[in-house]
Amino acid sequence: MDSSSKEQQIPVKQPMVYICAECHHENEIKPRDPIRCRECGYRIMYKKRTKRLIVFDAR
Amino acid sequence: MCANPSQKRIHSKEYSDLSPHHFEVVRKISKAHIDSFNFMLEEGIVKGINWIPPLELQLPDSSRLQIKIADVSLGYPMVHKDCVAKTNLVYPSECRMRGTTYRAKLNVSFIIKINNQVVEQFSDVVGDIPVMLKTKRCNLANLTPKQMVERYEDAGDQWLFLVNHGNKVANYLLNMEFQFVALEMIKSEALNLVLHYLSNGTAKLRFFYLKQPVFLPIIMVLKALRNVSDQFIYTELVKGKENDTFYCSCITNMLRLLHQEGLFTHQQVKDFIGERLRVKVDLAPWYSSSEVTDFLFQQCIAIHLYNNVDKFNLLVYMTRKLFACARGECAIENPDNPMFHELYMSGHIYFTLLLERFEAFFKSVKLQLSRSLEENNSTKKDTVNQVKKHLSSKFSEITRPMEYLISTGNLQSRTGLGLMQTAGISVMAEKINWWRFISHFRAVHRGAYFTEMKTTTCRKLYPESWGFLCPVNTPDGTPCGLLNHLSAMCMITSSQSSVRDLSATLVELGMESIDKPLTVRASECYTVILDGKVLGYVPDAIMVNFISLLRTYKATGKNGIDRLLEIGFVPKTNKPTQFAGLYLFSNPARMMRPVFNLKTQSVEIIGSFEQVYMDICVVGNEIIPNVTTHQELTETCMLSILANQIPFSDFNQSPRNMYCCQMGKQTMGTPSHTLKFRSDLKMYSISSPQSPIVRPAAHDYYHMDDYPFGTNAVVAVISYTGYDMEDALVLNKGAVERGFKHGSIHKTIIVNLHEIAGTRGGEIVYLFGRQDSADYADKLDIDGLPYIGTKVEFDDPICSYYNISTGEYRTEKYKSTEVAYISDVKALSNDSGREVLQRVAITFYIPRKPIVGDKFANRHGQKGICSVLWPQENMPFTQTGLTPDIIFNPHGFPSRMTIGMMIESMAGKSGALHGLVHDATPFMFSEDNHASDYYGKLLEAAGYNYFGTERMYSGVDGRELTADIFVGVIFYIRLRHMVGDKYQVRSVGPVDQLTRQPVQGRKRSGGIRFGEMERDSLLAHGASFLLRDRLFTQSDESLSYICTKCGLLTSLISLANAESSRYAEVNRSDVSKNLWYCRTCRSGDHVKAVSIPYVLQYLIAELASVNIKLQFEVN
Repeated sequence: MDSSSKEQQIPVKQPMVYICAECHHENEIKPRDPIRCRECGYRIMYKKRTKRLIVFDAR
Repeated sequence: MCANPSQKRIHSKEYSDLSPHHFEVVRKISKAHIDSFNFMLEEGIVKGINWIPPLELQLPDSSRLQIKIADVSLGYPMVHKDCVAKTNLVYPSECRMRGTTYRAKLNVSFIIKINNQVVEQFSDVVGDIPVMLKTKRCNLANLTPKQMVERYEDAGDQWLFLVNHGNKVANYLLNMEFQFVALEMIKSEALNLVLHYLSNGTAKLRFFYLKQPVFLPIIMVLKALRNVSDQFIYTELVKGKENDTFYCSCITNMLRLLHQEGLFTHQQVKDFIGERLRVKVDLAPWYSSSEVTDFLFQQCIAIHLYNNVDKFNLLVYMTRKLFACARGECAIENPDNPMFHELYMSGHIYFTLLLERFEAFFKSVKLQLSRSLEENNSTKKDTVNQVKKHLSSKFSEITRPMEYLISTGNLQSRTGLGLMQTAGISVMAEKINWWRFISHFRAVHRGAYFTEMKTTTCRKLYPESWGFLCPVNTPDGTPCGLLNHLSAMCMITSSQSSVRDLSATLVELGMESIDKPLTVRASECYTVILDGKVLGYVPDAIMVNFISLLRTYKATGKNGIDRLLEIGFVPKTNKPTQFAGLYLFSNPARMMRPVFNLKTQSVEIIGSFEQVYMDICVVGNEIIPNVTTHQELTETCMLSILANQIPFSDFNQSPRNMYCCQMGKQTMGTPSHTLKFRSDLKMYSISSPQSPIVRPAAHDYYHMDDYPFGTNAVVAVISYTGYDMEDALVLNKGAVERGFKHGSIHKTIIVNLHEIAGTRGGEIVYLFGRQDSADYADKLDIDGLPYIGTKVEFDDPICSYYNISTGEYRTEKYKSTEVAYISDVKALSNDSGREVLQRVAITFYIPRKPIVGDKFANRHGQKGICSVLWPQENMPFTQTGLTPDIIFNPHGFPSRMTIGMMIESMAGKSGALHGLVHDATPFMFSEDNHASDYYGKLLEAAGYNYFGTERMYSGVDGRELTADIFVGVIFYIRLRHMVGDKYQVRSVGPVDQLTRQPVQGRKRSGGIRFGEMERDSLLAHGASFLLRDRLFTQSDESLSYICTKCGLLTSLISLANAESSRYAEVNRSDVSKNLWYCRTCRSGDHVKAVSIPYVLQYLIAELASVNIKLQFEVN
């Protein structure tokens, strides 16, 4: 891969939802946003559990 | 203290509620630590800053500059006030999750004086220092259990300090109690005075100033302390010993020696000392020699006494005791005896270091100031500004060592604070289970210095420690006897008790005050000393009555006598015993415990010194009329919290109880109720714990069921499979598959992009993110972080990030071979909350079901390794069809003598049958009332055998076993040592670059060293092929070429290499014949291939580099 194609890939502006560890408010945070709760200003966020199917062999 | 045990609580609806009673019990465990820190906050700092000598400097224009610390205050842990948040307060849970230090700002105000006139007064934040949790500067102080939970804490949780992922506890350190021992006297701020007896009949006083010893003749010190005549000093010293001609002549001789030096007056002596010690004392030049002496005496001699008269009296008393001791009239006191010990508490050490840092700070500022102020002659205002500048440039010298002390346990100190060690002051408080955790707060360490001592006196269990230090709860091995634990009821005095009315009460009782002339002869009196201050004399005749009244006042708290006052009455005897006198203690940091006073019918708190001279019985039938004055509250009061948890510990051989205390600390249990809100590197937990059927009362008292850790297992004592040799236990495979003893590990790693980029400051090089087209898209989310719940295996990506300038993507890999699941991902910001995502904490959940090689134990010090998971259908079964969960080998009993385990087995069985919980507190049964009989009858009542045995049938063929098998229910625990963390295997793998031998260490998939002794054993067996295989073939075998003619390896060159053409001497015709050519023999004919260890080639090359030729004789 040449560098020009990489440059184009970077802007992933899709926001992700994180849960505040203090007030449990769901925050949408974009990759370049600071990690801070919009409700209470807390500085730790939990990643939300995925909605994808996770299946394991039950053995 | 303890009610009968029951499972009422766990069956009730209140189980999930937070019991205020429990909160109170838990709070008491670490109370002393917290109190000691509160002491520093409330009183210590105010008093302490007066002790700090001000910075004094003569300015170039000969005016006097003085800088003083006016006030020191510590704030609450907070983030910066500009931070946009609901609250600026920082709670410990946040520090725990983000891996930061729980600290607060230290505010100091300075006063600058020039020529004694205040020119400037200012205060400034000098930095952050760690704050102890639950103290008055902690944001958790005074929270109710419910509020604690709202703050993401365990209701009764307690840590001391939180520093960068470490949860630290400073151990209690034992030290010698000061003020009592006249030969050796130690001040809490750690300055000791030692009085030496010299063989010529004189005495010298030794003290330390800045770690340097100073020796002064005692008479010189006495004379410098008080301006009195020699006659006065003489009469004071010989008081009560007027008829002892040797002693009197010693004193006159010492007085004469001073005269020979030409020192006659108080002033002369002071000048004499001051002149000689001026170089050591860093005082401003305008101080006179006698002022230097005053300063030194104030800083070093009996610093707990503020008055020179008191100091004088104490030194006189010490001298008398010294001579009595030297002449064998009284016994030498043993410094290892817990009677003379007091404890250094975490808050005290922290505080003394803080004070010392201020002094050190002044010293370095002074050095810098004196240099820069000499250079430029400036105005007053300039000077002040310059002083301020220099002060603030050195602020970090105050705060940095504080955090360093807590995080590393290393002490950086000039004076050493009188501690005998500089490392290991703080230890990590591991939260493996509740037992381990609470015992951290009760641990007392004698000091690292003693671990290297050859003698064992410091490790001995002294009878004086009864009731204060647990005889059971000490590890074996190196720290044995040095690392002790406080008994359950032992407490530590946290503050100075009130002694305001003490003197008046004593005089009322018949004491003759020190400042009045004596009405009786001094030799017929006891000296009364309070915390090293001589108060007066009590005539022998009234002494017994005096003590008994004083003790009654103390026990009832009447007449202004504090309940925490210690009344140590050492009677006179006609044998060389301890130096007689009445010693009162009111100072903090003493060990004390409650006993029952039979006279006043109330609980009295006694100390370790007075206990020796008291008559205390354990149980009522031991009372001797007119002798016994006190009784123990319970029979188990000598045991620590942990030792109290052992059921029927009185039936076990004592070392087994010690092992239990050790193993209890390694149990996999419930470490915390807030696992989701922590980022601990590793935490063990157990999946299906139970509440024990057989448990001592202390189990309920400390609410162990809130942090459950074991399982009631059906245990058959039988040698059955052959897999149960040597302490191995056989687990029932069926039980394991149903969840028996399942556990898990919670592992957290922190990925820090700042660290990966190696940047300092806020510069951002990497950002988390995933390439859209990446082939690991099923493992990682679009933000570069893993999906929660994903299964990860070796080499799977766990997060990806890209370089913002080059756009290059990279991933972090999962490095363990063990399968794990992502249980949590935390995005962590910085203090200001303004940072883009740079740090994440990824928590893995690693299931650990029991496998062969895992370690299990019960509460009687009987541990074993699981040797096989035996199919349930092949397990022996009883008449009721029951198969045991665990098969225990009967050979475990004869040598270990853990009868408690047998009783527990019967008790557990009867409890299970009747639906009861049995009280297993020790000392409940006796020779007349057998435990086996009590539980045997219960078993009989349930229709079982009286002896706890049952008929069993072979699981393999169904035949009845000829022996009756002892089957019962025993509480088993799983220990954290698991093969999953320990197995090491390698066939081929990484090798060392230099030697090409296999590397070391499990983490790098290295080998296990086959060392010299292993080599010797193979040699002895003549197993030469095996030896060759281990040390050569499997290690660093390599092919090399040697010239058989000259025996050199270094002279060979390869002709295959194109470069060899530059060697002119090479005969081109050889090229076709041989690939190798010897440059010394100028031929390639003798070159042979040999296989040699690669290290040999390396050795030859090394030797060649220092001009040593290595020649081989080849045949």
